[in-house]
Amino acid sequence: MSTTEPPVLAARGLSAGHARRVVVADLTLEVRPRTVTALVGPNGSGKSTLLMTLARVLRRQAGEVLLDDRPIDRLPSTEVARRLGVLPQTAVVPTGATVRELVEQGRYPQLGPWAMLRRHDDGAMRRALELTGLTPLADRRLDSLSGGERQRAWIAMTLAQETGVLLLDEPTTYLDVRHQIDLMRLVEHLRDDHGLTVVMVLHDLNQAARHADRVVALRDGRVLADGTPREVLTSGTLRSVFDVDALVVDDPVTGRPLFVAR
Amino acid sequence: MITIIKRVELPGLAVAALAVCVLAALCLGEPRLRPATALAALTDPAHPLRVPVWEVRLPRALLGLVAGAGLAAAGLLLQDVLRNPIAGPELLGVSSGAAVVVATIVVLGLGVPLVVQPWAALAGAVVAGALVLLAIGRTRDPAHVALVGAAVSAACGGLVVAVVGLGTQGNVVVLFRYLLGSLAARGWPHLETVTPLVAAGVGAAWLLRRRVEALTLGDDVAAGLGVPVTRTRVAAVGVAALLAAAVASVCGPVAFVALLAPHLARRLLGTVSTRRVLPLAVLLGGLLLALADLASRLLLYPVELPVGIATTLVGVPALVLLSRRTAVPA
Ligand SMILES: Nc1ncnc2c1ncn2[C@@H]1O[C@H](COP(=O)(O)OP(=O)(O)OP(=O)(O)O)[C@@H](O)[C@H]1O
Ligand SMILES: [Mg+2]
Repeated sequence: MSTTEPPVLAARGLSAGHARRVVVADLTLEVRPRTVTALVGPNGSGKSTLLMTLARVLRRQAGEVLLDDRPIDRLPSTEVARRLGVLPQTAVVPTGATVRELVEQGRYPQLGPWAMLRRHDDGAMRRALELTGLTPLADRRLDSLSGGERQRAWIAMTLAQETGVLLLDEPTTYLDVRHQIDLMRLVEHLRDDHGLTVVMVLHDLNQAARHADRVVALRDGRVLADGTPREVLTSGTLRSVFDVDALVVDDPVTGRPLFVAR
Repeated sequence: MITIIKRVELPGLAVAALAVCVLAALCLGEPRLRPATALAALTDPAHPLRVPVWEVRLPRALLGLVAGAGLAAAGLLLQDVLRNPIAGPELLGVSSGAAVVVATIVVLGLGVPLVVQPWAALAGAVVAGALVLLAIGRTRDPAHVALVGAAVSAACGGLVVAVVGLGTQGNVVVLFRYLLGSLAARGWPHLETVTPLVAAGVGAAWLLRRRVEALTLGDDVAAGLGVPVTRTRVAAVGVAALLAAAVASVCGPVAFVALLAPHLARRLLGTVSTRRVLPLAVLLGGLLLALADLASRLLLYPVELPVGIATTLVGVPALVLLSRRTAVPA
């Protein structure tokens, strides 16, 4: 992990929230290229609010967000969507749509003024379906899929965008153990072989410890800890962030910290 | 494979059905004509039956197609952009708001030129639609929205009755037109008024199709895809209001075509994708209204019913079915 390269995504003095309510206040964060960052914190701590504001889905209240060193507000919205893909928690399943139709939507930012699909779009959609293991389910209706299959379809839509940055809000929700592992491997593969930068909200701290290069812990909209998994996942931070009493040991398989509640 | 055949052939079938429907509209009525005679009268300006075929039946049949097409596009835009399967200009008060304004102009003889009437109607549509949007506040519950829309529509219907009652020519035909919608006694000038607006509206819907489709995934996902959410929603609702107002200014608030045509197209195509549904929905809208007009002319012949009665008779059971199917399970 290089710390000298300029950040792909950065927040400077960022305040974010809903309507006039401030959820995240004066937050500064830099995300280095080709890294996986896990955002952790209790329910309501502002993880989704922060992620959506970084993606410019929510309008920021103060401060600024930089994408590739440029203020994100100055980029046209399709340009932002070509560089940064986001999977919100609030996605609505359109009744009757198929997996392929959903994935196709991921191509929207790349389409020309007449919004016609071209050959390259087909390739991107095919790769997205393959990476998420959904090729055999491509023509199934979303409302006929299991929760986990549907979650993978949303991820495939985000991948079809072919962006360099991915922001994923709780991507492992609904997934069984196998598919959680597959998703984490996919994220690592995207980072290592495609040079992607990923920021994701995770609730499973051991997953964060195992697969993230960096963990950012939020509580009440403030960063309480930020660093490598080993730096952040200590029993002290777990107490201050989550109010849990936990033991942190070394994972015999990965050597990463492993958290066990007491 | 089957879906590919469907996508190519269904629009073809719809176009063929439209042609048959127009031909039938030219032949049926008093006097009843053979298709060959009707076509001869159509092509020969000196034909003795030129007037009933060319001046009366043809513009009316074409008006049905154009108005139905416009209503279908309006319904599709509203349903997808509001994520409400039972949305439509009639259920948001937009059509009846437009009808109030036009009824006032016509009945009170305000002397507003025909080409200006759709724009006046648009003002009525926007006021009624804005009332509905204000009244529903932040709810997204489809049934709630439809209920408020129905209330505003009912109020507009009351206004129409009052206006028609005020007029000196307070006759039942005028009442029918602005309460239920009717294609009776409409000619080329009406067609020429509404066609450019419907063409523009359908064209705008086609340009908006992908953004509208992205909105069906939720506002946050759409915003993440780079879609300007609020601008798209305002544009789509505005286009739908313009389409509904243009149609209502000429034909009155014809109900249920806007609701049914998109659902029928989705059913036949087996998809909900806005961009795929739009062309067939537009064709089916034209077909539905043309068929309904034929039915309203012939059902109780020689008495003619307003076309709005025919569309309502088909539409109400369909609405009940739809709202049962889309109801949130307890
Ligand atoms: N649309 C909204 N309007 C108003 N307030 C909101 C909205 N969404 C979230 N909030 C509030 O903002 C605060 C932070 O919410 P946020 O969704 O960012 O939390 P989170 O960390 O993602 O929680 P979770 O783990 O439950 O997803 C909460 O107090 C929540 O009530
Ligand atoms: Mg959240």
